[in-house]
Amino acid sequence: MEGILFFIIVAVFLVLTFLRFPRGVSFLLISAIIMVLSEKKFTVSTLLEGAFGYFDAVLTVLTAMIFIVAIEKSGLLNHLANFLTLRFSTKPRLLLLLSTILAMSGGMITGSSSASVLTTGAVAFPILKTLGLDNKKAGTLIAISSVCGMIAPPVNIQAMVICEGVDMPYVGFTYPLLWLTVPTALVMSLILAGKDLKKPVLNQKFHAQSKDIFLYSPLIVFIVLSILDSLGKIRIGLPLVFMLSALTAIFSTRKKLNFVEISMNAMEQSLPILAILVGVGMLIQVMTLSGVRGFIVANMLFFPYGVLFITVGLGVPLFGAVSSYGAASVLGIPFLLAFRGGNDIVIASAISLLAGLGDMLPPTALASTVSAQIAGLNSYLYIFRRSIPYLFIIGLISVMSVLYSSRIAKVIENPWWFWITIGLIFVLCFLRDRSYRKGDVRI
Amino acid sequence: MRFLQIGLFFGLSVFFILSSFGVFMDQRNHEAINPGPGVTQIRKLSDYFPKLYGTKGDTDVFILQGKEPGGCVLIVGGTHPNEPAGYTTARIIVENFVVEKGKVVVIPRANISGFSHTQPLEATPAKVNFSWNGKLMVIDVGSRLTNPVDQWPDQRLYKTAGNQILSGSEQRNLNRAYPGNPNGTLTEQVAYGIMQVILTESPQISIDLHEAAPEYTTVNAIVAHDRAVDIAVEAAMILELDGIEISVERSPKDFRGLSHREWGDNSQTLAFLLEVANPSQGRLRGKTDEKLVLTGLDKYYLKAAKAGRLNVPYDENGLPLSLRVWRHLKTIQTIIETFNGYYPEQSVILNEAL
Repeated sequence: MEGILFFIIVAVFLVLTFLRFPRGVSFLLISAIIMVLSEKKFTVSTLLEGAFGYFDAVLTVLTAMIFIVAIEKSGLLNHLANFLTLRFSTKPRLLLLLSTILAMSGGMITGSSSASVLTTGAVAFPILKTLGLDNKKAGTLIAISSVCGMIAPPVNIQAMVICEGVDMPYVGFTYPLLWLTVPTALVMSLILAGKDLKKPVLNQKFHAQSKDIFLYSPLIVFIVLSILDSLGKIRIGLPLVFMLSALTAIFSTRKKLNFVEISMNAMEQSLPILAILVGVGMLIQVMTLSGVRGFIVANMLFFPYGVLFITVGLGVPLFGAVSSYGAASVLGIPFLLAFRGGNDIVIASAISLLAGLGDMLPPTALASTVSAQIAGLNSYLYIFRRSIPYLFIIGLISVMSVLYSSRIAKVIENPWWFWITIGLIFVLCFLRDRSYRKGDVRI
Repeated sequence: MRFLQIGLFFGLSVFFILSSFGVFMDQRNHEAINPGPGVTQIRKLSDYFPKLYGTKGDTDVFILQGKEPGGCVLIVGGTHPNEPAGYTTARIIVENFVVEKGKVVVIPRANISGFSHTQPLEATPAKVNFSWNGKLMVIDVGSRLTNPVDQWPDQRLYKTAGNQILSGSEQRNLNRAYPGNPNGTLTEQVAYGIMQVILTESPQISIDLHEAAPEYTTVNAIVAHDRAVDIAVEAAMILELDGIEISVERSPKDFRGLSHREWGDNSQTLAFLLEVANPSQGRLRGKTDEKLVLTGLDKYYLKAAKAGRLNVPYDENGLPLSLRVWRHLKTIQTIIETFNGYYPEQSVILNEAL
């Protein structure tokens, strides 16, 4: 029965997608159909309980969108892009690497790829544009960087969820997670930018003035409050951090900004994403109720040990496509238990990255969808299609990390190897930038 | 157009909330615990920590005082309300047991706030009908965590005692909040209140009742604080002789905030945590309903057992709630009897009322 229900879910989703139903609405309809088929009744409370599964994420995305619209209207986004472009006008590769780290940093602080895209990703986007990347490439880079940032330390919720499931302290994850995410994101940004990379050119005359520092106050407020909240010094939660930062943006400029108008604008932009989050919660609730969730997990786990490496590589991202946190909890924990005998920290780190990749994949495709919105694209599929080879490589790296976890643990024991590797990437890019300094705009 | 979209979104939300208002409010009505012949006093957690008075964390503390003087045992159920064997065992002791010697203090709903909601995405049934010795009981099944209505928002990260970092939602997990904080969150205050019960009543033995998924590594086990390991090992050997397979694990020193570590470190009590296997909270489970909670029988767990992926014996008989409760009761009795053998002057005699 569960197998039939699973195929009904897939079939109905494909039909509704073909009929161009919004994904949030599709999830709601599928959940209702599966509940009626499985339970022979329709209970609104079941769906509503599921809808609240991602309540915090809904609030975070909505308030993050208010924040980003506010700093866009205040002029901060433009100013920051112009400032960095001016500062690194002769070093495009260095600027690209810094932009990638900037795009990652939101995820490192918040542990959420969508929040990362909507904050630091949105700041990095205009910089990437000045470097010659088109909207699709820039959006893809932001999406991949945000997913890597979400998995990078210090805040990796997926790894924490896995740790809690097996009573393992979230300790010793810093370097395994840094190794899996930072070099990967940096190298991929260079490959993705490829021959499109050019020396950044300012579109208008730009002079940074000391009074412009006030423009940066919302960003400063956001960083300070986020860090204090993460350290437990204050207890206000990420949504309120975004709201306070957005309010700061209103007063950081001489322009007259209307907060209600900004909020409505943000609500309009984020509504499809909020609907997806609400719908996904309903779907998972009904999948759990009907046993479809168990069907999926059971069919991924009960393979011979050798085949498990393939199922972890395919199954965790595919389940993550519905919910990356859900994939970490529902599949990450049993997979970690199945792989016992290797290095648990490296394995949990790699599984968390596989779960994170799900944020790029349909049907939910949260990071791709939000990035498409930031990049002004009308479909997340542009970003998804372009990111496929990169996701495949990241997936392969993750599976290899699971497979050779013990050996990898020995190599990364010495933190200096990581810093030397990152230093080398930066030095090589610096040297390449220097060699073309006197050349043409296109490099 | 945009007002239409936003209006539709809010309209649908209001419809959903109004349609299920009654269901969710009903979860706040807890089933009555009927004190049995052994109960000599009913107190509240706020009697031990007054700041909890009138809050959603204040819960009943049942005292079963024996006629003969002796030692004291604390039994805590409902730390995780989604693990019904813990709460049910504690409730059965309150309703059906008498103390001949010494004193037994029972807190059946340690995290009472967690009983007022179920965890989204888990599809847990809120109540199940269970019978024990022919007596029907309605068992509340809640969430592992404190209700976010009572404690929200979660920080991104939670630092337990010893500055160990967990994900933010764990700050609503009572068994990560010990030894508690009088000025902390509701969960930390409840943990602090339970710590005050231990410091006030000075139990020689304190037992925290739990359940775990069958694929979990610590399952069908006694987790014991360093000072309690010897008694746990001896009790486990006696249980093995009675046909109950149970393992003993020493409380990890580097995993902080848990009852078996913090109770023992912050008082003289011998701290134990008991785990039995419950498929209805596992990740491999199929259809999630009342039947699964009661029978513990699931086809995917059978498949997992055949594939050698479980840490407990599992067959077509499932793992019924009655068996899980019986294991808890038997383990509690054995731990107490083992302790009595070493410390007869502080012994406690707890029996089921006839």
